[in-house]
Amino acid sequence: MSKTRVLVIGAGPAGLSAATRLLEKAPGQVEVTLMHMGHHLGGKASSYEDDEDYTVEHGWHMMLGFYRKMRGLMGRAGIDLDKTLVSMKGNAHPFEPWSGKIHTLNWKRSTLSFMGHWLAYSGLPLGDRLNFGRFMAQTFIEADRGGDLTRHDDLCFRTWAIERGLKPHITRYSLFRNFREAYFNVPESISAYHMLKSMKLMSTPKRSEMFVVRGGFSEHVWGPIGAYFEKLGGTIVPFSLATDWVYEGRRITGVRIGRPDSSGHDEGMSAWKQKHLPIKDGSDSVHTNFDSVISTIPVAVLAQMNREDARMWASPYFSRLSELRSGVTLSMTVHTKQPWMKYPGPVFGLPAPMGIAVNMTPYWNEYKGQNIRSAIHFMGQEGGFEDWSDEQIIAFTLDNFSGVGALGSIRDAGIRYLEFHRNRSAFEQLMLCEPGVQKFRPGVRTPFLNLYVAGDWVRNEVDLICMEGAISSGAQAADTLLEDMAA
Amino acid sequence: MAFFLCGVAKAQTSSRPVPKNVEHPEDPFAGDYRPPVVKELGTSAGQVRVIGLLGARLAAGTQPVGQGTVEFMTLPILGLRLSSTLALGSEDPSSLFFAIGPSLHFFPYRRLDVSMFAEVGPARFALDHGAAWSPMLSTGASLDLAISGYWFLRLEGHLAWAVYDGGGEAVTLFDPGGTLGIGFGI
Ligand SMILES: Cc1cc2nc3c(=O)[nH]c(=O)nc-3n(C[C@H](O)[C@H](O)[C@H](O)COP(=O)(O)OP(=O)(O)OC[C@H]3O[C@@H](n4cnc5c(N)ncnc54)[C@H](O)[C@@H]3O)c2cc1C
Repeated sequence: MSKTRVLVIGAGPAGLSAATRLLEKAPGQVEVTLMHMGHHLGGKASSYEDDEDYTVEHGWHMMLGFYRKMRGLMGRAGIDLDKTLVSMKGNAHPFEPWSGKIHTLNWKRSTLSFMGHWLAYSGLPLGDRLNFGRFMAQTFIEADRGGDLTRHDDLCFRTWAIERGLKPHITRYSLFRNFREAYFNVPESISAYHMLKSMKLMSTPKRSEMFVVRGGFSEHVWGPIGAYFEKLGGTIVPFSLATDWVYEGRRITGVRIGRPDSSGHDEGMSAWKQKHLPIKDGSDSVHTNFDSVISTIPVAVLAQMNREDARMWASPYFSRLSELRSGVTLSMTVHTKQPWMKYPGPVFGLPAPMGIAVNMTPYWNEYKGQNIRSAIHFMGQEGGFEDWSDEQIIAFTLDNFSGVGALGSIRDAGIRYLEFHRNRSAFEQLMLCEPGVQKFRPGVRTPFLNLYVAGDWVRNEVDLICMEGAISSGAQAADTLLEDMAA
Repeated sequence: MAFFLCGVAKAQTSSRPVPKNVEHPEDPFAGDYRPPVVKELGTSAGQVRVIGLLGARLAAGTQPVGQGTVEFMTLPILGLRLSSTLALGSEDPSSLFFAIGPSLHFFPYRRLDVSMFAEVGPARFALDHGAAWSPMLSTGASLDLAISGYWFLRLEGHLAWAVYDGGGEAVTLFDPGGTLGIGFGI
């Protein structure tokens, strides 16, 4: 019996998950090719070590305790989880402009001990602390009780919270603002569904524990998963940018591809300047060597494919996809000569646009002995700052720190190295989880009988815009394809 | 090949210049960082109101009572009250009363609010020959005056009604009373 040829497009978490799952579940029945436009595996979740062993990050990534599927995949790929993952020990540090201080929240031990810790938390005045604590307890219970949480999707989380008695002024604290910031949804609103689903999945200290990897995700996580995929018999084809679908009736018969033109890419600078990447002249061809396709291309890219095909984009399925919006994230890494910002967990609530900063010095320990006393990674989103130049955003962020807590100026700590990424290209953008978005997110099946979609933006069991969501979606696409093959 | 494909190829990176003294527009979010001010008053959905009251009941002369009430607001206008009342004077026939019932608030989100309630629950009656338990019904009205976003004063009047076994014969009790107290709503 001849094998079914499956083309998986995209080598981010969703693509790697789908591709390995196919070979794990149907060895000998499928022939899987994983095609992607870049060279580092991991898509938006890639980070890698450069020639000096510095970790290059387009946006800091952490895993949470509830990432069961991701851990499972890593384990099967032979990654030693204990050696690779480092816990941030339940620490997070909100900066509150009202107090001018950076406070500490620790959710490491039991829920009960956290409640005690919360009562003594200095980041909110007592009345507000009690109101917020009562609201959060009620929310965790409501999220956990089950039922279809998507019924809350049409409301933004702020309105949802106020309807449940959270005092409106409390939504102005950094602690509350972080709900949107963590998903890069500022200045947009975040759907109440998205927050409730997050709380359901992070309902215990163990499930919400944050882990980072020692160094680049591409070397430590995605690379070994890619190698595992190859060991299972899969083939990886890099530098192949899909530009259009070729179809006949309800079947995809070809994928138009080309080699991306990387001349617009500037290391250490803003990453790719173009929203849509050009392909090198004369490099385009139509790839037809497949029976079925799983596309894990981000929605902002997918929405640009076959743009001339008005009939396709007017169809109910594709016109719904056009409603999904994505946002531009920002990230910056700064190495200093003197130690700076010695907090063990992420500091958040800092002034926009880059409101989250993490001291990665204890975790990226490839740096040891390299005369770097602090490696700080900043993250945020471009919203509200679209017209600012890179220089303005960087200078503004660095200067803002003079006013934050007792940190002192980062400039005075002696900046040795600075890297800034403005993730404007469509393939780097992250879907916004705005109110009402669920009804526009598709499932894995498409109107084309042999095309399946997966990715963090596709509805799945986890459903959050994160690596675990993408991995869950990839696995679901693979399972659906195998089910259809068996039918 | 696999080595390269798996993304372990080392890329060259270089630091970008650190910009200094760069002019930039106003921070579009400056307003977000102003200290939040508590302005909200009165009842709102989801609120839990804990109230301690002292007052008097008039069934057997003027008898001092202490009352603790927890009110869960299911809607801004509709609460669920749980209260317990303890007679502080020895003459009061109903020495202890636990009650549950709805409350209706007429002016949510306001400094001054009026509500009506009805409660039912078991009451303990101290009698010469021992104690008896019997159901008791209470209805009344409260006036709340918010003194801050969290604290409020409450003036409450009620009329309780019960029929209990007073040593072989049914005794009907109409017990009017009033209390004044302070509450905290979170
Ligand atoms: C700044 C930032 C910080 C984040 N932090 C976290 C975090 O801490 N924790 C967490 O869990 N998640 C985090 N995320 C989210 C996480 O990175 C994504 O949810 C995840 O990478 C999505 O995986 P995916 O496979 O669906 O898509 P992607 O990762 O985008 O992968 C898509 C793949 O498709 C390829 N591709 C794109 N277009 C084409 C094309 N036309 N042709 C061929 N190939 C193409 C890409 O090269 C890539 O290989 C963060 C994201 C960002 C941007």
